[in-house]
Amino acid sequence: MNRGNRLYSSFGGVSIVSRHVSYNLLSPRIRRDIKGRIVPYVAPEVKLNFKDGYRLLKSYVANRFWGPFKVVVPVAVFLVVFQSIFLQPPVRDLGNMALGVCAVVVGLMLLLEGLRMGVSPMGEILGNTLPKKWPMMGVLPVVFMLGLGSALTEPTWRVLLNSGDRVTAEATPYLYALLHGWSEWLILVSGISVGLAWVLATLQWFHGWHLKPVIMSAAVPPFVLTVLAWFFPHVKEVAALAWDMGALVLGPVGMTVMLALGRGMVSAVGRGNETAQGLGMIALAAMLPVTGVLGLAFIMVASVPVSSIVADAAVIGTQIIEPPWYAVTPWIELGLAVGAVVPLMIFIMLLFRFILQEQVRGVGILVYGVVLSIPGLILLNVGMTLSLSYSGSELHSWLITRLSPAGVDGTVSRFAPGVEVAGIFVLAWVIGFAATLAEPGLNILGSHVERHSHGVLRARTLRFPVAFGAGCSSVAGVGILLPGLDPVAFLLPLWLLLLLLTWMAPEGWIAMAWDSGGVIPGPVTVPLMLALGTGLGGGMLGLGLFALMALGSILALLLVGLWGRGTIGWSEIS
Amino acid sequence: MSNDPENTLPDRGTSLMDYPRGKLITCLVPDNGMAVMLIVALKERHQLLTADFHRCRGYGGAREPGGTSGDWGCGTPMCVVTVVVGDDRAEEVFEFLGAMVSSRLRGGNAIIHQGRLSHVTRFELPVGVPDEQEK
Amino acid sequence: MTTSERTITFLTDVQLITCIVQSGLGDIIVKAAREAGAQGATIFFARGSGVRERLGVLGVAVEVEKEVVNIVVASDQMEAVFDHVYLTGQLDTPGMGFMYVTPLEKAATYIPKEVVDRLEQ
Repeated sequence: MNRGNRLYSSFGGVSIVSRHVSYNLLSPRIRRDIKGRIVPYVAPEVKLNFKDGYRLLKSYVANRFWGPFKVVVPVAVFLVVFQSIFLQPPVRDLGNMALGVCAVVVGLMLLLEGLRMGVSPMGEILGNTLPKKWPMMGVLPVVFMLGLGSALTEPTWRVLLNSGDRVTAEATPYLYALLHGWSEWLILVSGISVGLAWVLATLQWFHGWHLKPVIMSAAVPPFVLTVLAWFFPHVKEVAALAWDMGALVLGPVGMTVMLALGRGMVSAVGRGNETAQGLGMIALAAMLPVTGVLGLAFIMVASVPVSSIVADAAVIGTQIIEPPWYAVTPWIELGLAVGAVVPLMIFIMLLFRFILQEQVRGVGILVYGVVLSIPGLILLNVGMTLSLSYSGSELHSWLITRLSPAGVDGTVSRFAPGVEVAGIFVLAWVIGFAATLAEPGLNILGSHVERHSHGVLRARTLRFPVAFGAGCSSVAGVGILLPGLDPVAFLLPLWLLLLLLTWMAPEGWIAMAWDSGGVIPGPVTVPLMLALGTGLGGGMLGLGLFALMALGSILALLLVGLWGRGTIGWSEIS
Repeated sequence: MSNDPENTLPDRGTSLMDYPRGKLITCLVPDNGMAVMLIVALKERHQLLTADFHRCRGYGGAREPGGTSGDWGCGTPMCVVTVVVGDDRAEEVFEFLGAMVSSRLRGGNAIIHQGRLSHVTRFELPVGVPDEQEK
Repeated sequence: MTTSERTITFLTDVQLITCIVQSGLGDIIVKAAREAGAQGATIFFARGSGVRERLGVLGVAVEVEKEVVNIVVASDQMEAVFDHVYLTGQLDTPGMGFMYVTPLEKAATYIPKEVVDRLEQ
């Protein structure tokens, strides 16, 4: 078998023995039937012994565990330390906190794996098959339904609606109405806007339109409508809500499906010279809802008088509703998680089975991925409620206490006011930066970019600037909210600056940058930032903070792109 | 090796010897749209339909005159164009690609090489198949 | 017929080393190749198959994302680069990867003029 052993070189003190083995001896023998046809060879199943199986599983789990662990645990530790320094009593329940952090880490791990193994490939196969089987007119309604569905089932932005009871009808009637009586309309309009965004995205994938004009023209209506909103009483507050809806409406599941769909469609109909590989359209799904919600606000102004909203609110306000069993932890998280994944996936499955009549290979692993993402989302959300948002709500009440001039409960701070303010800024930075790093959507976007640039752009090249930008802008957000300023006033100039940079930056980069703005805020950042925002923002809930975060990250990434022109990957493409 | 009669190859009408020899020419160029241009040029000037390209990231290469290595850092986006040609036309296509590549690049950053293929299947489209339309 | 004075310098004695490793390890391979004197490398991503199907339920734990590293080397260098890459990449561990050498008939690239002149003397 061996055709001679010889010692022919040495490497770092290790002597190397070379050995020659014919591959003919290692490859399986094929058999033929009487007619000379090959009898298909089936490789025998590999039987792993316990130890090898353990080693395989261990490295599989460990590779996926440490990523979320390294991000989430420091945030949790920071929150505990922060609370024990500033809050009295410091930390109420360390045990729950620890349990919650574990749940968040495991949940993130499962969710990411599920999205990668199940949700993403399914979206990609669908995107690849649809345009081959159907004409454009058939594809567009399906895509619209998918977009609408993904927005309606998105659990993240419901958190925003749930905090609506802090809004009063007297101070901000239209905002109050949108979060209460008109909330179905708010949801529907956002959903339809997202659906339309997906339709537009599909057209872009088909026709290979340049991204710059598409993004820049979609960016104009939000700006104009917001400026208009300034001149109408009480519409101004709705503008902040509209911008936040835009930032929140596409969660990790929705963005994964969209990204995968785009990838599939581009590979099916594209001509191979696309630089962005289906990127750039998540931003569209964030910008159209802003326009939609603002449009809804103007319709309300035209049709509903302020006085009737206040009158209705006076009736409702006296009732206290006990939440039903399905609206408390953990049932609410379970419901939302199942709702976020299952209907979309069933819709895609049914499409394959009955309409496209396409046989999908490797269904086992797809189902494994989809199934994995459900407990992932549940654990993530339950864990967030138990740990980070719990300490978030303590922070919230602390902030309210500290910021009211007299101190509501009469306690006097142990620190000079300056120290506490500095503490709040540090807190904002940590929440903005670290929680963004943990966002599953950003992880998915990062690996998409890495895969499609063949490693020229790494996931971390994307994630760190984005997180840095988000951290900076949440600090800026605190700086805006503390003196009681309106975030929307700062969004507009930032928006103009972004448009200017977009005009200058290379096309591959703007796609990435705008998309990253659409995927953060997600399930990790939202509960924390909401605690910060509602604590600081009073009756306005700190609305606009999420949009500010998103814009900050877009700005950071665009700046990196412009600064690295010529040195970093895609900037060579014009 | 084995005298098992089931393992011996039965006589068949075609054998591997019926397939001609060929060359695989591989062309590594920057990812700036040049790959598509080369494929179009191969089709139009040489009637070659067997060209393909994929993206990759490239390291090193003599980027500046003097042969000092370029950046080995994060890699640059590049395209690999591969084309299969018959033995008889390999010389001509290699020189064509070499000229195309070198005339459009300032400081190197491209390489083209050719390897031998022992068997190549014929790839021809039926006459009259229309070109893919640019949308 | 072109009238411009263009000469193509053909390189001979060139070989192509291809190495397929798990995703994420491509950079290690490139670094090893550079240490052993290789002047350039390219990497692209690919999906492997073969093991996942045979492992049954445990197959989900097998990484199918691969990186394919292509290194053009001089034939004198080939053995050194091959060995160094093999050992640095720990290709003697199960599941790490696979590598092979393709002989090339010729290659052409930008060669600085002074280098060509020096060789022709």
